[in-house]
Amino acid sequence: MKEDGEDLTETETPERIESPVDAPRASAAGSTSPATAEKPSADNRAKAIEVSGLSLFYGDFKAVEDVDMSIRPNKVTALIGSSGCGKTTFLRSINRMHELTPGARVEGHMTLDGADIYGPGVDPVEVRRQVGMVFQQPNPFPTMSIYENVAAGLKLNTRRIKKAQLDEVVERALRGANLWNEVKDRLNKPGSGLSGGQQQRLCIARATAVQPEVLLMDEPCSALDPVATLAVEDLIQELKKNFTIVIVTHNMQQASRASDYTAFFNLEKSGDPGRLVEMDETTAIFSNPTQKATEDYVSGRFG
Amino acid sequence: MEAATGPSVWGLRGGERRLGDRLFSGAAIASGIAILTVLAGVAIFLLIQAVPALSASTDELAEGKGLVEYIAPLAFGTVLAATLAVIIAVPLAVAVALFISHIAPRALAQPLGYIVDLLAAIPSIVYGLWGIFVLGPAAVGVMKWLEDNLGFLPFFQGPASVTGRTMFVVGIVLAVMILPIISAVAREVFSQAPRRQQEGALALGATRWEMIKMTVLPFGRSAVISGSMLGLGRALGETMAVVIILSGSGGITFNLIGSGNPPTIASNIASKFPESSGIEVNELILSGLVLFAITLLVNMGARSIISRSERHAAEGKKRA
Amino acid sequence: MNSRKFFAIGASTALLAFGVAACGSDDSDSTSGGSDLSGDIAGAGSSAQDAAQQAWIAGFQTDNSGVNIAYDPVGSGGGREAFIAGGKTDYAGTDSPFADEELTGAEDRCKKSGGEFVQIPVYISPIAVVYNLPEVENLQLSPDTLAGIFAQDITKWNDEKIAADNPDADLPDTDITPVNRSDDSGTTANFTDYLSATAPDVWTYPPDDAWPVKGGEAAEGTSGVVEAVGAGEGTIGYADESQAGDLGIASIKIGDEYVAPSAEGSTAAADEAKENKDGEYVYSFDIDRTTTNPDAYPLILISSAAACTAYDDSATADIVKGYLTYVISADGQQAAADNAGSAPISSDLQKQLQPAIDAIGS
Ligand SMILES: Nc1ncnc2c1ncn2[C@@H]1O[C@H](COP(=O)(O)OP(=O)(O)OP(=O)(O)O)[C@@H](O)[C@H]1O
Ligand SMILES: [Mg+2]
Repeated sequence: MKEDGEDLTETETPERIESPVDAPRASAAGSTSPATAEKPSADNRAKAIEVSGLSLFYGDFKAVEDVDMSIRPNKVTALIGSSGCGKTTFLRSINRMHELTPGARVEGHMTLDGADIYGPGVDPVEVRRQVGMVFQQPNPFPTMSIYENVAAGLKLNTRRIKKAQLDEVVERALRGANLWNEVKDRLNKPGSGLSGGQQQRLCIARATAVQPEVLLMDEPCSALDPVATLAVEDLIQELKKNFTIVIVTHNMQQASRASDYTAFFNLEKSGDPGRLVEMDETTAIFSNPTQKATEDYVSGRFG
Repeated sequence: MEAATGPSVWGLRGGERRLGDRLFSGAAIASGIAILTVLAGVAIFLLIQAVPALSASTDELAEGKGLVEYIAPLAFGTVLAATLAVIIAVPLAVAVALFISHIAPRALAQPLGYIVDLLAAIPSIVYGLWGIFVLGPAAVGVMKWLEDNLGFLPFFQGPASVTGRTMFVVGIVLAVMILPIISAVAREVFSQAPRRQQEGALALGATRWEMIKMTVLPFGRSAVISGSMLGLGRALGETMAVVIILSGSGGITFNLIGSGNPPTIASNIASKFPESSGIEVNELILSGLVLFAITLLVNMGARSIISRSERHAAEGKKRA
Repeated sequence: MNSRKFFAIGASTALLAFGVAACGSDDSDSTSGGSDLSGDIAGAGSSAQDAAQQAWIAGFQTDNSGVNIAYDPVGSGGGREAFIAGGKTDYAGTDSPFADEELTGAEDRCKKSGGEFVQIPVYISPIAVVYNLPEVENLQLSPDTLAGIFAQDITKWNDEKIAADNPDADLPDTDITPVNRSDDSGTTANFTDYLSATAPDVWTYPPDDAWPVKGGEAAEGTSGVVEAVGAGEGTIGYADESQAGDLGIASIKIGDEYVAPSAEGSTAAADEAKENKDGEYVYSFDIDRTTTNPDAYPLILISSAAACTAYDDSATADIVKGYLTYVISADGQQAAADNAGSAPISSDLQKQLQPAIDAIGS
């Protein structure tokens, strides 16, 4: 964990970024690519996601149309776009949460390191164990203590886990979420007794404690003040050493600060399905986008 | 909000509002007082009518027994039957409620909920007849099996009844009767369990059942308790079904499958009242007073359990 | 003791209200009735008499279309109390005679209207010992065996005492489940009276409305007993013979013979009963349970009607008189036999009782 800082700078080298694009199917591409010079973290579990020809429907209504996208491991990918263009819908399809909405369905393909997420016989529960999620509103389990909240997912995944081991994982997750120092003296108090920002970091700790490969975040800072937002953004930089992160945000500064790649979604007019307009390195999207719509949006001239 | 927009908006309609408020609070207070008066009236009636039995000598009383000796088995039978019913009904009701609120497809859930509610509309005498004509005879074999295989437990020590008119069958019938109340209360609250938390659990990789255990059940806990207490109250006071089914010829016993069961207070009053006279009637009313007290205690106990768990939840929220 | 009064009055008032409403439609053709009696009376009491009372009321109102009678089967005890309390209860039906304070109370009630108390038997019902034992068609029981079974001393159907009564039967090794009434009832009182009179060594309990033995199978009402006996094999109980349905009916030993219940036997037993008079018009009967006459069936219930010789309103007295006359008449008794399965009282007994009825309203 201590060399994390080094990793961070190294992963931002261009070679490292391009390799997965060249070999999108390569499993754990980062560690086998020419950029293996970097020291992979022992906890690195990040996986790549490949999306092709994906459309999403609510009943007869087509919400998102024909998305092709490569999401690279150990990177933060930001999804931006105007309200209603299908960012949440797309994000939820990555861990099959959309299936909770009656009538929602997908067409097209999505793979997690080559494994078909929608393949026949694939258990959505398994997918969600590998692809965690943090929601817009902090949602700790109100009847559980802080400790139990973090341990909740672990108790599901590993049936019998020793108390000492559990303590260790809970501490690591809380430290990873930059929350440990604030809560270490009240681990047995209800999680709902924390501030909103603390609750959101608790939810992040809860999601990371189960060691997923991908972490999805839907506007995780929209309910937080600027200080708490920055804390979460810092946290995201830490987390990407071990996870692939996909984050939806309406905050352009946040996208430019915190993400490596940005995908811009748009919809022509309401009633039309949302489309992926372009996706590129964040710096490229914000400095010289290829599409006019993107430029209008990121510079605040949209609608 | 209201305070902020304050006088300028509401000022014009202030008079009206105050009149409406006054009417409403007057009506609310009046109904409150009326309910308390009725309750007190019932309690006073029971007390006054019970007094002669308290001062009567043993041989004037029914069956030549002392009051305690007479009422204790009845109270025991009442509590036993009701407890048994709740033990059977609660897990079933919770399962039914969960099935309707979280598992069944929508097309099935609604009619199913409607059918369960319908169970509450069936008169208890019909349950009694069902118990005696259908369930009782069907339970004879089961009770025999219980005696043969689990006879070492006091509940099944036997000898098993050949007619099925036992505490065991009464417990099941009462359970079916109280099931709709418990499951209706539970279902209502389960379906209001916060979606965000349920999604949170599922996003952690919980199965549906794990999600229910983590979020829905804790959320519905106090509702299940209060529903169970409502059910317990109904089971304690249930009369006709017990009168028809139960062979209440015994005293205090935990044997659930024999012929000699303790009768319940309500069923004993119903079956003895028509042919009783004089002091025996006072004695029956005294037993009614005991039932009143038991029901009151149960309700107070339930209140305190619920308010404790609500305070728990409120504390959590306050800190949030 | 007021609660009972409230209860009974409440019930009969409700019935009366109903009766009055029904009466409205009857009034239109009251002129076509066969008599000039008109008005309402109400009775309350024995539920055993209910079916018979309904038959009598129907029969009497056909001939007297201006009359409306309501009978509320609150139970004998309730009927007696309502009658003593006066008010709307003009007559009562009771399985056991008025006794002690109740008798004084009834006399006082009638005295208030300047009359005397009248109590006459109106309803005789044979009680059958019913059993459920498909292998055994004609079960025969001596009083000692019967008492032993119900006292729970004899617990198996192939007990040698039962075998002694049934030398030809193939008795199974089944447990006996004796079934009794869980509610207090005149049927239980008469059955226990029979047992204590005929088998005093085995049956040591005094006769009582309430079943004295713990731990048997208890069922509510005649229908409950019949149902319970039908439900399980090896059961035995007691019930009005008319309600026995498909159940086996045991013959009980009288003298040297085993006798099944019958209307004739019951009528004969009632005729043999020893008459007691607690007042000029107050009849009660001691049935000779230990009779050795095989033509009499002494396991019967005699249920009575109670009335006064005078009422505040002479029209009421006339209706009560006319009604009770019809009740004990051959027609009335036949109607009850057809409807309720009772045994008719003999014409001798009827002649003996008629003067008490004639005293009403005179
Ligand atoms: N449960 C649903 N049922 C039907 N339609 C839905 C549902 N959820 C979303 N939609 C529709 O799908 C489209 C995309 O919605 P989505 O929530 O994905 O937008 P979004 O990009 O996340 O918007 P925002 O930025 O406001 O969160 C919208 O037109 C929306 O109305
Ligand atoms: Mg959204």
